[in-house]
Amino acid sequence: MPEESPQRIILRVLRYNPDTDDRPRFHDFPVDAAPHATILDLLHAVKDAQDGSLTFSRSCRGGMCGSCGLRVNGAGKLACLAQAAPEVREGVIRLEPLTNLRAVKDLVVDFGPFFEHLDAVTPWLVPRAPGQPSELSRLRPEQLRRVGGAQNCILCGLCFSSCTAVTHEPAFLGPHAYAKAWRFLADPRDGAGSARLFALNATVWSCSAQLHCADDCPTGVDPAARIADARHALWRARATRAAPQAPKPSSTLGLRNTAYFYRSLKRYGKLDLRGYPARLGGLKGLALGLGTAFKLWAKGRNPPAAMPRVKGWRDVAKLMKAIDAYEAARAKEEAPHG
Amino acid sequence: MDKIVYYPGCIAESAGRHVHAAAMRVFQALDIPFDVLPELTCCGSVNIRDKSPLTHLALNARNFALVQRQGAPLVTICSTCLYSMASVDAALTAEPEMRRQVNDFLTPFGLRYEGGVTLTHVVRLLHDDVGLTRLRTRVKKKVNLAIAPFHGCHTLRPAALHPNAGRDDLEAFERLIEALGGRIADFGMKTECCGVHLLATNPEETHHMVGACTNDAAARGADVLVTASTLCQLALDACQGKSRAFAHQHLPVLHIVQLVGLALGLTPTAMGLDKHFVKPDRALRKLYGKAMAPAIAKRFDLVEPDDREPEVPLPSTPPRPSTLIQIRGTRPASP
Repeated sequence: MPEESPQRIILRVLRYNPDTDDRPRFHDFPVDAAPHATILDLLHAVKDAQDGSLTFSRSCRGGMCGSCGLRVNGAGKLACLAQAAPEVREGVIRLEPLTNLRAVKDLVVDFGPFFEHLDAVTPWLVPRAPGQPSELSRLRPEQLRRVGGAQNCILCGLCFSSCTAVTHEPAFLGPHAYAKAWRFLADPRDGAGSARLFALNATVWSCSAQLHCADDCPTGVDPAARIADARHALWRARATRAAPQAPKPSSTLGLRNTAYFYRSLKRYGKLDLRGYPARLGGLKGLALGLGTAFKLWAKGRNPPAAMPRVKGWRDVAKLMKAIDAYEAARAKEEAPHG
Repeated sequence: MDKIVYYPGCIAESAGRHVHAAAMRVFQALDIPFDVLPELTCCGSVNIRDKSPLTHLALNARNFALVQRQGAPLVTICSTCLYSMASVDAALTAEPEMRRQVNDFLTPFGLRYEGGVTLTHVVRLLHDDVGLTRLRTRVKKKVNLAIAPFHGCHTLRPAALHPNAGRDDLEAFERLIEALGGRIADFGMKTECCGVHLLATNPEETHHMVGACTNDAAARGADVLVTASTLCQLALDACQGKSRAFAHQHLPVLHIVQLVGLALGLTPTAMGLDKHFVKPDRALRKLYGKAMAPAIAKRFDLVEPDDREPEVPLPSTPPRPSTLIQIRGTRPASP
């Protein structure tokens, strides 16, 4: 196979020095990229030969430590795993720091809020009993299967950066935090149980299912799926525990919405938009709902007064009831943390 | 290609009815025979799985079994419907034990699903099966506007459900718009979230997301924004200007089927553009000028009031499929 020659490309880096710059600016570095160079290789080449002040985070250079996250042509990647050649656009690769975090210098960002949000989910194992015997710490592989990819998180921040729920909802903890919470929720050894789960209820419903996190995660955590797991666990906790501190659908919009959606499908086979979402309750919801309902009515787009049912809706209801019964029986059998 | 099973989705059948009607008129105009199956339920969106993942699987498997009886592909105009259904199909295809469990619940109703349903987004139907070459020959009115292509989330993600990590789908949507005569006004937020799934639980967040996307598109000089999904069209149209963080751009938001209809020579009223929250008057003025029929022009405030023509009624049931030209075309080979 003939040797491929290095490719001359422009590395366009968003630079920022708080001591001298009023705002970030792009700076072009011409660099010869070897055939299988990574973005990290190119950053090192620039720092070594052109500008020693170029600042970026890195450590293992092998996709394990999570230090070198940045945006390559707008998409979050680990610099050590991203090959340079496929990223060239008209001779240029654009590099920017992660978003949703304040740039400290060049490509380095302040991970403070990222870790604060992580702390909020108690990101460590709380033993079931103090000094529990070591036998209880041994797990069979199938017991850890529920944890799934949530164990793999290297705290690289790519999910946090790409998530616009983080951008627009200050209370949203971030995909990494909910994934970490699930890592312990699904672990049979964890004794924090319901407190850990119920603490998520206030904010986990602010995920809009945009799925950037699922695609950007370099280690297969799939935070979006872990958020769905946590929401399902919240629902089941409400269903199977009579504990007064369990989140009640009457008090949480997220759970209320889930209950409404399900009831609607059981009754009609479709989502009943009459008065939705105002019917979820609350004065604010009512005001929003009435305003929107009036506007829709004025444009002839209001849902029909009588909600049509799908053909065969009785079968649909029977099917859903059969699954209800099956799941209720399963819930009774399973251990509380099973 | 034979007839399709057109799956409008719950939004299209109520608050998005104008897009539903536009889609049916476009299928008619393109001679695509279609049926809407009254037995098909909601896909469960991203909500049913929170209550019961098994119910999410079973409802969709039931839909798939019913669609397979028609021997026709399912075509949807809603990206979340496609995501919901495709994720169920992928799970059932990959896990025989899960499929067996779901089929145990379906068997009492004489139904069974063993995989193989064809799920298609209307963008891919137009791009792959109708084909851009054929579509160009049917264009009567080039939609010569700066068009911001809003892909949103579920047309492209998760990568596992889209060939080539969504690049194919991104290209298909934008080349489709160009084939209709549109000029792409590229903008960075085109693959970001409109926030529609938060409308019930955290509407302020939706408003901010809508504001961020429409502001970016407007800053790139877009005349209109075109979406691939009924849900995105609903949020981006209904929630514009509601966030205090972002100015109201008054950017008209069309679903791709509405744009296709305009390009095929159907009127803006037939495409339901008079039913939008953000009025498309300025964009239509740019597109048609005084060339519009007087009645339509009057509705969109382009000419002086004149004798009204009767309004084109929205069909409440799908038109009877007639013996029409079969659309030939092939789906791209799997990678």
